[in-house]
Parts: sequence; C-alpha cells; structure tokens
Amino acid sequence: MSFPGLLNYWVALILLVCGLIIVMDSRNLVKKLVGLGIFQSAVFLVFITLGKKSDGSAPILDASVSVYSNPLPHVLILTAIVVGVATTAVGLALVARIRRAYGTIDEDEIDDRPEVEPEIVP
Amino acid sequence: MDSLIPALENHLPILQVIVPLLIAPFCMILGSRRLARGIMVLTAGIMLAITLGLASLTLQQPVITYDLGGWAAPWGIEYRVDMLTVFILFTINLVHMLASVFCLGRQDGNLGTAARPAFYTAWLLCIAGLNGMVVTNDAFNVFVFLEISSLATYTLISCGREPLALLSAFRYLVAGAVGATFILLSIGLLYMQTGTLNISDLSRVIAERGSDRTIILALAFFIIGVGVKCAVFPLHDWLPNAYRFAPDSVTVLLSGTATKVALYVLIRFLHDLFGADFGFAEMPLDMVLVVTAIFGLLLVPFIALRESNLKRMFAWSSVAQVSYIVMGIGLGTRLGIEAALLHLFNHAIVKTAIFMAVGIIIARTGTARIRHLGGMAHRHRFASCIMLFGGLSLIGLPGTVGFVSKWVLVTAVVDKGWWWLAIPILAGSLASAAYVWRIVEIMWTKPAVLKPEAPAARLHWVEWLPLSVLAGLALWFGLNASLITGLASSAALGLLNPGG
Amino acid sequence: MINVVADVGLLCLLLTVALAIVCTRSPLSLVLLSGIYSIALCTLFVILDAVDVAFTEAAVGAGISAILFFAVIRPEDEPVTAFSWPSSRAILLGLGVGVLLLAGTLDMPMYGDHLAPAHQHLALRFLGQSFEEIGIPNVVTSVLASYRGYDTLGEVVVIFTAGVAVLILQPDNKKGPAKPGDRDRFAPELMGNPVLKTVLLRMIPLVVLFGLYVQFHGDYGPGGGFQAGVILGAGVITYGLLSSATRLKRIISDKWVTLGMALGVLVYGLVGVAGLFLGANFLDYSVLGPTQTAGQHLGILLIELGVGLTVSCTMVSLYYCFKQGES
Repeated sequence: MSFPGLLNYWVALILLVCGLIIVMDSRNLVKKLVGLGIFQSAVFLVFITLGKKSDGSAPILDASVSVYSNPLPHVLILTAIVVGVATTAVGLALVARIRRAYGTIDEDEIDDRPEVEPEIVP
Repeated sequence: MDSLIPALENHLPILQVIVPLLIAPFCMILGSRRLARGIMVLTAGIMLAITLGLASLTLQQPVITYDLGGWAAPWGIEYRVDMLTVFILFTINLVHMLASVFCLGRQDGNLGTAARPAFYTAWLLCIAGLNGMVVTNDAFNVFVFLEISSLATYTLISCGREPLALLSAFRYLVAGAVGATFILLSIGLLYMQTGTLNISDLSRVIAERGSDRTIILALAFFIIGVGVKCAVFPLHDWLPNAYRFAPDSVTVLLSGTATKVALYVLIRFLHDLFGADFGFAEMPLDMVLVVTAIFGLLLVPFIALRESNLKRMFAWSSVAQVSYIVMGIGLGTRLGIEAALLHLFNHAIVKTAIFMAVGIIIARTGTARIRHLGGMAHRHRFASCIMLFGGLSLIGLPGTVGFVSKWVLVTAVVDKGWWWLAIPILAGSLASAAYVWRIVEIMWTKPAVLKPEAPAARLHWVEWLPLSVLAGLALWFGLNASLITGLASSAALGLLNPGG
Repeated sequence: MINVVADVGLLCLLLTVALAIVCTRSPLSLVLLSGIYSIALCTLFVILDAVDVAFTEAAVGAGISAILFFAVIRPEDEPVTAFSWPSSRAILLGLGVGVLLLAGTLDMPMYGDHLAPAHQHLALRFLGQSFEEIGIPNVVTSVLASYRGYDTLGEVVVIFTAGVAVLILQPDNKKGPAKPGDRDRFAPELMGNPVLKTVLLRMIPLVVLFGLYVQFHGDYGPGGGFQAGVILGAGVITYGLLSSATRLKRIISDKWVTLGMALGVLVYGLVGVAGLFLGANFLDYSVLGPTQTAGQHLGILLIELGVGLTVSCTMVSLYYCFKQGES
C-alpha cells in the first residue's frame, strides 16, 4: 500500500508552517496560543504517523491480532499532549492577568503604551 | 545505617533530581512561607552536597550510569554522569545555593498570600528540571525536564512587580514552547530513522547506518530549538525583558543556570548524539555557529550601550557572553569546548554576582534607571565595587576570570587555524568595555541625582554572604586558573574520547 | 483501503480548519475552530491505531482546552472584521521554511512501512516481551508506566507545575471588586436552561463512574490515570458550571484541591522511592510484590492513582483559578 506515501508528513509540514505563521503574525495573545496548539499538533501527527504499520491494529495485545502498530510514539505523544495543555493553561492564566492589568489582550495596544517607570524626583 | 550509605552512593544520580522534585510538592502542602524558604535553602545545600558526592565518584570511575525502573539502557531511561555532567551540575547547583540564600532577603515579587509558598515550589521545580536535563542520557527525557523547568521559569518571571513582567513571561512562554516543540520534532525524526531514544544508542545507530536528509533536518530543528533556549544571538528576543522584569532573585537564578543548561544540552547532543564527524565534518556547523556568534558579540554590546535600564543592560550583556560560549562550541575542537566550558562557568558566577549587586542597589534606591545612578558608588560601596569587578571580568581584563576563558578561546581559534577570529573577540571585548565604562562613569563621577534614602539600609548577611562567596571564587579562579582550567580540560577530553 | 480514504479525508479537513484559523480574527470562532481541529485530529489518531493518544486528545483538546479558552475570551474582544490575510512577510517566511522541510521529508519511510527503522529496535521488545515482563495487555500502558515510567513522573510534575503556576497567577481579589461588566460572558443564559441543567446534573454520576472505569481499566484497554483524571475533573467542573463555583467550593475546598494536586506527585514519587528501600533502582516496581509481574501490577496501579489524583485536582484547581479571575 504505497498511496498515502509521505502525504501525512507533508500535511504535517503545512500545519507546522500554518502554526508558525499564526504565532509570528498574530498580535492577539489568544490567537497566538491557538497557533501554538496547531504547531504542536503537527509534530504529534508526525510521531503518530511514523508509528503506524499498514494493516496493523492498536497495541493492545489480543490473541486474534498479529500486527500491532508501534506503541512507543504513542507513549511519547501522550506525554507531549499533556505538556502542551499545561503550557496552554499557563499561557491562558497569563493572558487573563494581562487583561486585568491592561484591559486588552492585543499586543499592539499594550506596546503602544509608554513605559511607566517609577519616576523619582531628585 | 552502615549499609545505607554505600547503597545511597549508587543512587546519587537520581537523588540529584528527585530530592528537589519531591520536596517541591511537600513545600506546597506545608503552606507556610517561612517553612518553604527554610526548606528551599536546605534543599539547595543537599543538592550541592550530592553534586560533590557525584564529583568524588567520577574521580574513581569516569562514567556512572543508572537505569531508571531497573530497565536496561535503550529500553528504559538511563542517567549518565561523567566529568562534563559534574562540571555543569557543580556550576548550576553552586549558583542555585547562593541564589536561594540571596532570595531570603528579597520580597517574593507581586504575590498574594496564598501564592507565596507556591513561589518556592516553582523555584524548586525549576532547578529540579534543570538538573534532570543535565544528568539524563535519554533524548525524550531531556524534553520532559526542559518543560518542567520552562513552565516553572515562566511562572517565576511573571511574579515581577511591574505588569510588563506578565507580557515578558508570555512572550518567553511562546518562544520557549516553539523552541521546545522544535526539539520534540527533532527527537521524533531521530526516532523515525533509528528506532531508539537513548543518546548513546542513537549515536551508535547513526554512525552505523550513516546520515540522510531526515537526520540533517533533525539537526537543524534541534539547533533552532535549543538556540531559543540558550538565547543565541538571532533567537535571543525573549531574554532581555524576561531578565529585566523578573523578580531580582529570579534573575539571579536564571542568569546562572537556565541558559547554561541549554548550552550544555547543545554540547551534549552535538558531540554525543549527532557526533562531531557529522556536525562539523559533514555539515558546516562550525561555520554557522561561529558566524552567528560573531554577529552576537559584535552587535549586542552596542544595544547594551544605548540601554536605559541597568538590569536590562546586563541582560543584553548576557546575550553577548553567550556568543563567546557558542563560538567555543562552534569550533568543535577540544580546546574550543574547554574555552566554552570555562566561559560558561565564569559567566555563571560573574553574572550571578552582578545581578545580585544590581538587585541590592535597586532594592535600596527603588529605580533601575541608569541616569538615576549618579554617585551611587559612594552610597553603596560594596555592591558597586562587586559590579565593577564583575564588569571588568566581562571585558576580560587580565587578572579576572573573564581573561582566563577569553585567553583559552583565543588559543583555541589559533589552534584551529582560524586566527582571524581573534579580531572579533578582541573587538567584542572593547565594545563591552564601553558599556561597563559608561556605568562606572555615572556611578563614580557623576553627582547624585536621587536624594539619599532616609536610614541607609545596612547590608543583611543574606546579601553580603553569597556576594562575597561569588566574588571570592571569581578572584581566586582569576588569579589561580589552573584548577578550573584543569577541570574544564578533563571534561572536554572526556566528551571527545569517552573511552580514554 | 477505507483507512486510507479516511486518512486523506481527515488530512484535508485538518488543512481546511488550520487555514481558516490562520485567517480568523474572532476569538470565539478561533476557539470553536480549534475544537473542530482537535476532534478531526483525534479521529485521525484512531485511524492511525493510536487509541490512547486519541482518547487524550479528545479529553484535552476538545474538552479542557476549550473550557480554559472560554474562561479567558470576552465578547468585547470580537473584532469588527473577523477575517484577515496573514502578512506577506509571514507567508514568504513560511513558504521558505516549508520548501526546505519538504526536502527533508524525502528520505522518510513510507506510511505503514513494516520495515521502517522505528519498528525494529526498541519496539520489538515492547511488543514481544512486555506481556511476560509486566503482565498487562495494553502495551502503551506498560511502556508509559513501567519502561518509561520516569517520563510519566515528569509528565505529572509538568501538570503539577501548571497547577502551581495558575495558583500563583490567579488575581488577588482583595484589590477591589470587579466591575459588573466582567461577568458578561458568551451565552450566560445557556447555563440557566432548566433542560440542560436537569440532564447534565443526572449525568455527573455517570461521568464519575466512567472516569473510575477508565482509571482502573487502563491496563486492559485504552485509558489510564491521565484520561481518568481529566474525566473526573470534568465531572466535578460540570457541577460547578451548573450551580456555582462557590457552592462547589463548599463541597471541595480549594485547600483540598491543592493538597490533592501535591499528593498525587508524592504518591508517584514515593512508589519510586519504595524501590530504593527494597534494594532496587528508582521506580523499579518488580520488588514491590512477590513475583515480578505482581510487583509491576501493584506499582502501575499505584502510580496511575497518583496520576489520576494530580490531574483531576489540577483540573478543578484550574477551574477555580480562572473563575476567580472572572468574578
């Protein structure tokens, strides 16, 4: 079965680039985190695809099955997904605090403000 | 009891990491800020003791391995300690010990009462993650512990007083997560072509089957990902603001540990995983790293020169100093690595001392604006003198530690036949002299801008003690360089000839 | 054959949604689109035989992430124009990187190739011998909890760190009462809907039961401590959404939640330390029982409990903290 060939990797690559574009281009902090999620998911797709064996089945041992897909990438990506959601949660907590401090979640609006430093009168 | 001590000896590699890792949740349960602080310092002491124990073990046996879960190496996760590991462990745990003492004298940033013990929990998690990245010999495990330390770091930075600390932490979070994901992708590509995750095993399989375009891609992703974490010149954007807006104690901790561990991971992967033949002979990695380093060490001092904030100026200087280390790594030779390690150690202690001194001055004056610093040297003599001494070491004046490592670096570039690299090294040093001189001029010769603070707050022992220890170490290693040079040289040798 | 068709179809869906996200500026649409993206990705994972990963992606991507995003976005963030092209600079850079990466993919093994190097070395032992060595049929659980149990400890610590981070970041409400406008969320009337309320309240025990099943059945089927923790946490949070966070706090106070978060990590770590005292290495479960497989069974059961405890308490703690920022 050679049809999908490298297609999964190519799609993962496009998703990776999409995620990167969102992260670089967006000025909205929430959108940046969504972009980060897409960027990470592209990497997950690469791992899971490389673990697939054609005509294989999920790696849960059973007498009626002879070909199992590779369990190791699954383990790694389970951990990576958890790491991803932990990062998102911390990022969102920061966004919530930024909104409280500045009243906006747009980077441009925050950057436009003059930097306030405690000015001390000599 | 007698049987427990030798048994403990075998478990030192894992204890280095799980002691802080398991004390951290314990700190959280206790819920008391005073207790948490005491525990933090105690843990730092234990960790330094464990490192010294590991150091004495590596003298008898060059490589110590430890199979986690009892599963043999490529199947389970393996810890591996050699001279290089001990060198880095000693650097970061020494800095951590002194930084936690220094932290006792600081306010915990902008925190509610409930969150205060959590600050120390995050602190311990950060250092546990960094230690985990150093001792592990498993590529994926590096990623996991990188994330532990990174998440804790973002949190610690966000505790800064000014609201921009939040935005700086967020920007570091995005940059750091992109970097870590690149590293993850690199590990995935390596696994795809080799079927293994253990670093030694990976290097064996890559050497057997040769490299291909996927491995090249993995190398590229790895360099970009870890470059973000090291703040290598074009990828340094997160660092200046993160250091500036973080609480003073956190800046002290991070400047001496976080980037240093990332640089260690770079050295470890390039030599132990990809192999020097692949990175430096097949791929033009030496050129890439050296050229970025030249740009970093020539351009960044000029940004530092125009900086209006004292803390951020020294943060920029960190970016410049990382460039010297990257240049040493980029040479790929034994002398180059030796120079990189020496500079890494020197910069860790010198910059930690500088940020402590800056923290002391900021706490007394309430400002970090450079133009407010006029005449401060006469009010805060001790901190200012340490800052001056650190600054001279950043320049690399003879007699300071900075001179030792820059001298070895110049020797290394001449030895490789790239003698022309001595010119940017010298020019970079001159440029850093400019920004150090600017501070010295303002602090010593300009008239005072600020009114003297009412009762001159005396230095507390938690402030002068760590600062004196660091200054003493810097002075000692500057005048008597043979010990630290010998250690760096044997660590570099152990990396390049693991057998001998 | 059907697998290949589904694979290609889902890849197209993922691409479409990703492109839509690139061009969308409205936070509400973004969060909804990323939910669709997660569901598509999770279906794709099932087709690629990664059932445990799919389970996690469903619980995390479509469940917890969406709840967290909804807690942060506000109606006033909605832009006037919801659509914009990315800047040409970003597109050019993206295309450049993409073309370079394309070259790097050409040496990769084809989809489903049995002879790919990834399937040879470590995977052979995991698939061939894990049943004798550990004694449970779900190889993913064996590798996750035993062969690479230390990574999983790291994973639990990551979750714990996130919990600690969000606790530190929760705003101090003593600084002043929030303005009434702050509570104006998307569809506040939805939660007051009596039909929804009645149905969901009756579903909570089922959700908890399902969570416990996933917790203890993870050795035999897909699932385990992490997924169970998310499901249990979601069950508790649902109650909070239906009544109020304050009422939920009266049943499970935030002190207990923090305690549970830390305790889970400690349970995991102490199971590892128990190995040290019994003369084996850290996290070696074999010495915990009379035989190797009995010890492994006990060890995996205990550490999965630790995972479940930390994850479920962290989920509830996240909910409390984000709620705190809101009211």
